[in-house]
Amino acid sequence: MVKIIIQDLSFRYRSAPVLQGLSFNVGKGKILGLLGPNGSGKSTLIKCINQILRPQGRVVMDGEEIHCMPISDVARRIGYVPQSETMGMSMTVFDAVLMGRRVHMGWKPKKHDLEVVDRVLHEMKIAALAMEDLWELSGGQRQKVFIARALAQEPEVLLLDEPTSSLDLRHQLDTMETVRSLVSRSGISVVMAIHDINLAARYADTVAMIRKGSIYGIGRPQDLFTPQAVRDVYGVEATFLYDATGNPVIVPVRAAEETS
Amino acid sequence: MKKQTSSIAFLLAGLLCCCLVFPVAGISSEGIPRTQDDIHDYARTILRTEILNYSSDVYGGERSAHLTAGQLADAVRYYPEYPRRITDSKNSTITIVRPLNHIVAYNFHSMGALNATDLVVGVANSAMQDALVIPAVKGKVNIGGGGPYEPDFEKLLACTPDAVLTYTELGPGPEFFEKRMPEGVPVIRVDCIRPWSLVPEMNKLGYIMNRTEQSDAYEQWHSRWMDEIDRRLATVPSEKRVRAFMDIWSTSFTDRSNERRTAGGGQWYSYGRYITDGGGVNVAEDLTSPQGTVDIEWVARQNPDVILGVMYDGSYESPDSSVLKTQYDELLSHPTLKEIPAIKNRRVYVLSYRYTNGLTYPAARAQVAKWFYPELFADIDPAAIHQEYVTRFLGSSYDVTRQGAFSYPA
Amino acid sequence: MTQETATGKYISFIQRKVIFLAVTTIALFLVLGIAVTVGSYDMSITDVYRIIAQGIMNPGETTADLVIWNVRLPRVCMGILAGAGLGICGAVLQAILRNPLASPFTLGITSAATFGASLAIILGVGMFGGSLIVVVNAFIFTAIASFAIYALAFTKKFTPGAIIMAGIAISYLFGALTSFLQYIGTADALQQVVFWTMGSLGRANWFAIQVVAAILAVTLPVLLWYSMDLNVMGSGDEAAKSMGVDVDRVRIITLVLTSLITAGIICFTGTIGFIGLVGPHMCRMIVGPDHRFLLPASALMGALILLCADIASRTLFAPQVIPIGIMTSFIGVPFFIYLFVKRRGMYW
Repeated sequence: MVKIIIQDLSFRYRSAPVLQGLSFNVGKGKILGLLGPNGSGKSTLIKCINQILRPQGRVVMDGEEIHCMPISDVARRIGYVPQSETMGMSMTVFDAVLMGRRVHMGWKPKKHDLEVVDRVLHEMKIAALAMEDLWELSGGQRQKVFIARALAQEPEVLLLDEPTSSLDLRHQLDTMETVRSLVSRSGISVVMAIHDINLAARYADTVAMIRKGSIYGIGRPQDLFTPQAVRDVYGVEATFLYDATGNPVIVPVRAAEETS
Repeated sequence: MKKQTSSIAFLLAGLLCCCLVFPVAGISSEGIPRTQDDIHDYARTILRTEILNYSSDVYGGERSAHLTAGQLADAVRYYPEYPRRITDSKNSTITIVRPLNHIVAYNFHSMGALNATDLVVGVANSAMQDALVIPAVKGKVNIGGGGPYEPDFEKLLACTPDAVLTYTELGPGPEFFEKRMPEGVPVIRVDCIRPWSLVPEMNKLGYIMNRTEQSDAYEQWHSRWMDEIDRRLATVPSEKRVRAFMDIWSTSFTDRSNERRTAGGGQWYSYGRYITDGGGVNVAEDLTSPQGTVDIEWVARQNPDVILGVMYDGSYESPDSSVLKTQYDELLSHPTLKEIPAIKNRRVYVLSYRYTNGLTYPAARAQVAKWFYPELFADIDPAAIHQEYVTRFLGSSYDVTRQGAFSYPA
Repeated sequence: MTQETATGKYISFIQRKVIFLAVTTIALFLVLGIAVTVGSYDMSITDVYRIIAQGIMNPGETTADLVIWNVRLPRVCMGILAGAGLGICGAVLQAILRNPLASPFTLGITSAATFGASLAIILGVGMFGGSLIVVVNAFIFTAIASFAIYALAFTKKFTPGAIIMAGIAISYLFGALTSFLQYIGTADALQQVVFWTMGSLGRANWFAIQVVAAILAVTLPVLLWYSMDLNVMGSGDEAAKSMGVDVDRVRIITLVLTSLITAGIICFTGTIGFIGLVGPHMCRMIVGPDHRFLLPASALMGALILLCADIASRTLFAPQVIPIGIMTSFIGVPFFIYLFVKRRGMYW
């Protein structure tokens, strides 16, 4: 089942082209990992999906063109967790998550809105932190709050931009486990840009590798991740090990020689 | 109801008076009646017009601005001394229907010379500067204000004024005064600080406040000295005229001593005139703006014979003229000016702005003329002219030769 | 639902804020009640209230009536409107521009208004003649400056940084133009300009109050409606868009509204600083950054500070009236410092 169809997506920042003619599908209830080196366009691609950026090409969800929808409709159906958050004013965790309800709320939150926030806080296991100041939490806890905020929008699709890049080992695992259990529990579709190839291998159902703004390949991790692919996309020679479930564990060895 | 009936009665009486005599306008060229007859004639004219306007409005339905019934009744009661009418310096028509004796004088300059301090109940805070020469001011209600500060309007209302006297430009504007005055209390705007308007404004005020004797006396004194100075200056041929630079000095721009504030020949700004009135030639005459800043090197290049300074300081409350010495010393010691005739011959003279910007102008002018042409004015003593003003018009025993800062060097 | 649930805790958290708003409103009414009795005209408190009660439909004609209806009430009403307007504009601008130093005056609005007023005072040049020339000029040049800022910022995609830079540029431009005008004006006219720029409630009259009240009546509900959007925009433009906020639209609408409010106020009162900058910070320390509470709090606090400042400026050195801009700082800064030191945590 396909949730989102992306056709011929292109985007340029001023004169420099970042994404060129990308086409792929996002499966319903599945986790799609986007991988690639820095500057390959992963974050840009994520932002092109939910109208933060306006690309050329088509992004179609359940038969409807996303870029023709009003921004509030998009927000009702797609949640987004940014890579880094602008340091904002100090606020409680509850207030931060409540902001996710804005798209469903009028001026004043109703009882239902507060209940959704409560539920989401419990799902992410941060209910005890509800009245804490957001900026006094650890990075990992804060990440959970932002995921909770996106979930409060009650979306069908969740976009994650590098959700693990500033987390320690424990919190990385934590976050990924949470995402996976979310998907299996609620059938939400996830697209995540991720730089850690091993996490992608372990948790993503499908992965797409992006090189210089176009798709190098898309498929299951065990099919797509080959030494050749790693060399082409990352410019790195790597050793491949395999864990008990057959997932590849990629260990970088050295930088590959420049071939062109 | 009763008041209305008696008002109408007065009205009819007045109308009758007006109809009996044909008015002959005996008004001076400025529009101010001078003699008793002129005043009465003009009062008749005003009253007639007002009654006709009132009647055509109330009975004939033709809308127009006019005095109210109460004011007309007052006018008739005080006829033929009143009503009196002037156009003030802001071109507003002011009509007075009864003698004024409850004036709030935000602009207090003229009240001393007109011997009208008994008609004043309230003054601005800045009027207190004149307390040494006009002690009566201390007994008046201080409503605050002066300079850029806001006076207290409630205090003003508490004085129950019958007129407010203020400046044309200085001080609060119409939003503060005119728009909020009680019915029938006019706001009279005159300056009494510019040379060209001193006499006309004094005459207007003398007429309005029933002090024509004093305003006539002032005009005579003013003309006597101004005409005498004019006469003598006319004998100076144009090639012998002194070239002077006007240097305006104030603590707020003193730290830029390489830039000097001066005044051109601009129409409505008086400072540039002090040089030409003294028979000199203003080196900055052609400055395109009324006042401006010039570089001191430009001043040096003009090679002025004299530097005439005006300082925003000094006057009656200073113990002596040493406060004016600040500007004098600064100019004399400025390295860039070392070679100009004004400095080499030590022809630098400083006046206090209160001396020049006010009713004492004839004395200040005489001082400037004397500095420019010492032999021509050898027998004229400006301090004596000033003292004449203080003794005769202000009735004060203040001795200008012993106290105060008006001119430096003396 | 017991106190232990997150929602329960949140609701009591909210209630504290509502109580603060209620307390401030009561305080405002109290100060209002005191402010009308303050003034150098000698009147007992009962007289003041009697005149107000009797005069609502038809004010009397005695001097006491004039003092109340033409002097005190306009001053006090304008104080509330101006304080509320400037306070709420400051809070909105700080949210929109994501900058703690933003205030109604950051965007060059004051400079443009001063220039318009100077043009009218010094050169007599204005858009309409007559007695309103200064007011109308100040307003029109504020509008011109605002358009210039939006146009400039638009070329850089209307980000907060672009708006602030454009605002600074326009501010300096009009400041220089005003200085130039002051150079060619006479000393009298200059003093008038200084008089005008030193903020004052003394020029308030019923016409001005009606204009400002009309502007606030139209704009305040819209700004309050955007409270949640302002909250969301604090997280960054991208996050805000992902939560369904049309960032550009909210930004331009709120900027236009705040410019309108500020212009409408300062063309009658001149420049009154502090309230729009520090008022919102004080409120944020007490009610937090949730704009659903911060905006009303800023309005109430702004009105309260301005009224207190007005009372102080008229009584401390009577009969001299101290310029109100000075008093707002004297009253506000100690309170601000107290809050700053006492409260825990970072406040931006």
